[in-house]
Amino acid sequence: MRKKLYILLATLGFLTYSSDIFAQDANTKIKAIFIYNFAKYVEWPPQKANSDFVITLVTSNTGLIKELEKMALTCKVGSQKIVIKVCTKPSEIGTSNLLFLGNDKVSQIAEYNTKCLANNILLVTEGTGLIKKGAILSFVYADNKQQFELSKINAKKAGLYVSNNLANMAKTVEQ
Amino acid sequence: MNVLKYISLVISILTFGLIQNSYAQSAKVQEAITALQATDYHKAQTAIDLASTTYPTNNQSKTWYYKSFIYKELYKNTTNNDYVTATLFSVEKCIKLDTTQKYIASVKEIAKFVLASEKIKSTQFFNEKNYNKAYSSSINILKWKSTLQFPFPDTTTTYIAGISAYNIKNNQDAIIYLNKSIELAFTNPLIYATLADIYIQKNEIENANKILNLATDTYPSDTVLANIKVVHLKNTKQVNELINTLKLTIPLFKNRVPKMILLAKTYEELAQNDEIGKNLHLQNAEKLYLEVISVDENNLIANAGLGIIYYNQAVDIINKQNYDIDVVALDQIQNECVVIFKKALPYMLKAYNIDKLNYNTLEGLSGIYFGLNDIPNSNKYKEELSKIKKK
Repeated sequence: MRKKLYILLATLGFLTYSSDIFAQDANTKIKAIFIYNFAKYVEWPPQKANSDFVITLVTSNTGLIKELEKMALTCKVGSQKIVIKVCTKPSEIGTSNLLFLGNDKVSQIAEYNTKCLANNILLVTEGTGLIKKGAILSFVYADNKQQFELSKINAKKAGLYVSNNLANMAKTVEQ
Repeated sequence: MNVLKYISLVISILTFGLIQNSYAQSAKVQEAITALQATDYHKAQTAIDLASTTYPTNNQSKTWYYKSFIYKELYKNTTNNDYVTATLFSVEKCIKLDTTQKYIASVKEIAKFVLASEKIKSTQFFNEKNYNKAYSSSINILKWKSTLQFPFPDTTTTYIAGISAYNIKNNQDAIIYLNKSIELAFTNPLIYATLADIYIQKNEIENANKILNLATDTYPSDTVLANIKVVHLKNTKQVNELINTLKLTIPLFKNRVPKMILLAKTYEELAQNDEIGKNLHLQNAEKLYLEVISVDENNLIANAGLGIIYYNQAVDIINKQNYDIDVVALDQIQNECVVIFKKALPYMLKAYNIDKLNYNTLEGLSGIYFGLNDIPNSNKYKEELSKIKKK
């Protein structure tokens, strides 16, 4: 009888465990915080300060898109409301303030850069050395952390001013 | 005058007939006694059966006393259950009719003998796992003991009736007799285990709780009962009670590891639904996993569990930040999280080396490396996971 009860215990699943739950990935949150900081520490020409603050995303990273949309619900840049746009080709970028080009799209950096320079758009990319190809800010990985490279030269070309507070935190600064 | 003579003659004939009949029946009882003395039980049976069905001997306690005695003798030589009923029925009749109490003590002894013999048979059936026979026999004993007003309750037979009823899936009777056994303070943990199993099967959670609480209070060191209670509480998601029970019962087990892991998992489950107590619950789970690893360093669940706790801890730190924290603060937070991700990594790698095909381990490793911004390694484990899922 005792043996039977032991068998019963086994069939009741004593030795099975509920599946483990992993917390949502945090890298997109870090990236979103960085992007918000970029928006705070960069100055746009006055004509860009009168309407919504438009962040255009060219990326297949849906996690980041969602995270930034969440951010836009609660945050502002100064008094500007944040608007998130997603686009797939340079002609769609319009009058954005910031353009994020994901690492899966950086092969098109030249085309996007042309548009950005002409429209005072902060071009942010992912990958090492992309400031040499026109990016103003680019996310890089170092010491197991997300950091960024900054090109003040490219910023100046786009008619933008980057605060020294942000420059001080950059891994690499191209003056 | 002739009429009167006629009536008188009829009365005389009738009286003579009655006397003759009475003599005849008394003679039958006597015949039975004589046959009994000669150990001719079948002749005695025939005579006493006739006497017990015919007036006036059927209303005499003597007849029923002898009938019970004769049938008891017949019962001794055979396994025929009819003799049991006949003996005990005769005892019952005799007790009712014996106003002078001449035979009561004797017939009670006869009943005791028959019922004791039946109890032995019932126990034998039970030990041979012939639960159908054990059940019917034990029920019969209890019924007759009640009818004959035996002064002491029969705890063993009540127990046999309950367990046998359970084994022949007569849960209704099993509940009655097992609860009766508990009332009679019959000491056997199996009563509680069986009753609990019935209530669990019937999804009577409160009754199961009650009986299991009583069980573990009565037998605090019984590991089978502790196991049943733990499984019940786990399956019915009574998380707080499960934690208390596990804390109390873990020391009872020789191999404490499975229970410690279950307790750790329960703390983790609790943490998911209790934002205020989350950290404390996770600390408890962490302590338990570390304790498990100290006795079983290759325990997959404890290693993976610790890896996941640390991974989630780092991710939670980042996810709870506001978007407007400055870059300096963000850098410090990243530094803090790198330390935690690195703390998670060896445990998750150990778990991976124990079982390279475990979904959780692969997902965890991919996540930890991603948290450490080591994308090639993160992708490597993601691909492994994807390959396994395709298979």
